[in-house]
Amino acid sequence: MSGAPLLRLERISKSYGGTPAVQDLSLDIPANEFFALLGPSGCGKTTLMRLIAGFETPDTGRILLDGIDITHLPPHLRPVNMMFQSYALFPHMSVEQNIAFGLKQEGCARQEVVARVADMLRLVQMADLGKRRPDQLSGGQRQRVALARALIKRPKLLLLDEPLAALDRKLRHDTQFELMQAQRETGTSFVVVTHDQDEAMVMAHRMAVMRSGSIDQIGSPREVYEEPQTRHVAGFVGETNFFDGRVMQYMPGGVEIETTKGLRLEAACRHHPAIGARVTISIRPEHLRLSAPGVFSTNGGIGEIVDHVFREGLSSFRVRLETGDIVHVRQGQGEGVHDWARGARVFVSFAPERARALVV
Amino acid sequence: MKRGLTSFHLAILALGFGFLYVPIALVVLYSFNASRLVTVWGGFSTQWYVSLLANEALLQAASVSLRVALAAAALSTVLGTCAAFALQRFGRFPARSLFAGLVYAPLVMPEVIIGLAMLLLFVGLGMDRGFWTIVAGHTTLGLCFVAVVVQARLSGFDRALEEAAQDLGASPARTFRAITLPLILPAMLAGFLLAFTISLDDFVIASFTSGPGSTTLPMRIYSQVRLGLTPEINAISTLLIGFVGVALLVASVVNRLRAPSQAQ
Repeated sequence: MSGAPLLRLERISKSYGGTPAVQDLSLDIPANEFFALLGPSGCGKTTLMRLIAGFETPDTGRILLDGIDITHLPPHLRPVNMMFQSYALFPHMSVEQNIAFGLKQEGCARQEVVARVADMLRLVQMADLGKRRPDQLSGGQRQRVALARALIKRPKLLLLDEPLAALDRKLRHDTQFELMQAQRETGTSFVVVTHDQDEAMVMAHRMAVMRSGSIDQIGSPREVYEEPQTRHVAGFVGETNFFDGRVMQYMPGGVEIETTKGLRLEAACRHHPAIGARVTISIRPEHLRLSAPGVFSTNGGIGEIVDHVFREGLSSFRVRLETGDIVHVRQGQGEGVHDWARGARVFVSFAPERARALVV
Repeated sequence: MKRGLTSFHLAILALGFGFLYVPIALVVLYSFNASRLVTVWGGFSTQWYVSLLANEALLQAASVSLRVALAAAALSTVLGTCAAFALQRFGRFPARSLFAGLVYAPLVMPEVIIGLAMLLLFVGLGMDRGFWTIVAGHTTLGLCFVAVVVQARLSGFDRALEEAAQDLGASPARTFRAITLPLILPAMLAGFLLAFTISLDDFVIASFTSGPGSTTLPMRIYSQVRLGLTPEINAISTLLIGFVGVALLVASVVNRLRAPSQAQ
């Protein structure tokens, strides 16, 4: 990624009546990127988006678009467009009029408006529904009209507020790929705000995981999943198992800890905690192994299978360890995979390099 | 569960409607009475509607009433809409409750009091009473009805629509004209029609605020009735009922327009 970023947020802060919503946050987004802002509700992601769109002004900090300071520019003068969570289609206008609205504000020539509206209708596969009114459309169709309306001005940056939240499960799946395709075809940078980690994982090139007004971690979905930097990130992105404990000794590439329940576990560590420091081990369910309790059992604990669910080609087990910890284990169907019955005694273990010890 | 209407339900329904509408129906019926005696049926005739056309005083009063109602409804709509915006959009400004109280006071205040207050004000200011003082009186009453209807519409208004318009490059003024106004227009029209009928109906405030040469229709009817009931009065009353009925019907239809689609 060469040159200046398309969007740069410099140390942005915003609070409402003394309650901080965004705190000292900096972020760069390059051109032609699909970026996701991921976080639980109330983490400040919506505020951040409204700051970029211009509906809110930051208390401190600057917002730069293509190197130009737009911090105090009103929304109608910003070359940024937004797709609203409710879609906010104008109910008194047809689909075509909705899509044309942005161009008409620019004073575009009538012929060009007609041509570009037709292009947009084709892009979102709504060519024959241009005369309909929003209340005559299905949820998925409305979503596409909202997308077309936001894209017609060819913004450098498109903000999408929970774009899939109003759709049902199956439609959501298809729409994810349509959004990715629209992003590729237009070359616009998309910034999606979502609380759904699946959406972010599927669609985004890069994602930022937010918590209480600041960013915990930025990276590709894969990096964030495999190398979570904090306990919050590990818990929010994907499923995981936690073991809290204190560092006992350093191992090659990691640490050995003793958990609060008395297990001795070894895990890779990217930080340098002191001996005796409090850390949390995060281990994904698919990296846990089940075996019959035996002599060579290391880096794990003995437990009993309490639940077994088979879904989408994967077996999920809930295991209660002798220490009382409940862990989730996921296994694919294949050779060497034993189908453990409920009540079976098993040894749950993991390879240290698969787990991450995170500083609390 | 029993569905549909039992005879008991029907009886209750008939009683209720009868209580409300029999007196009005009688007026309408007797306006087509051929007899000069108001309470004696003498066959069907439209002669009183014809003789109405020759009654200069009644026609004059009807024209005053219509013009007052139009002016008062127009003023009420503008002021009432402004008040509704202030109440719905300006947040918690100082003295907001006082303002709300003042806007809605005419809804509960006895009209005699409003009329008397208006009279005292106009006398105190040394204003000649006439057409515009009636309009002013009716506007204070009408604007609170407009404010109620428009505020209800605004409270269900998705602000994201306005933000979306601005996001697409419309200035705040353009946004108001292209988005906000068209969407609250049905409520404003309904409010206008309400204010119009209220002004047309009003007798009390008009009698306090009118001056020589600006007698409204209800005032004219009242003074004629004191001299004796004539079938002409029935005829003009029937016309008035029809007028108000149509206006109220249009108001309720217009206000429902687009309301369902906005909910989505």
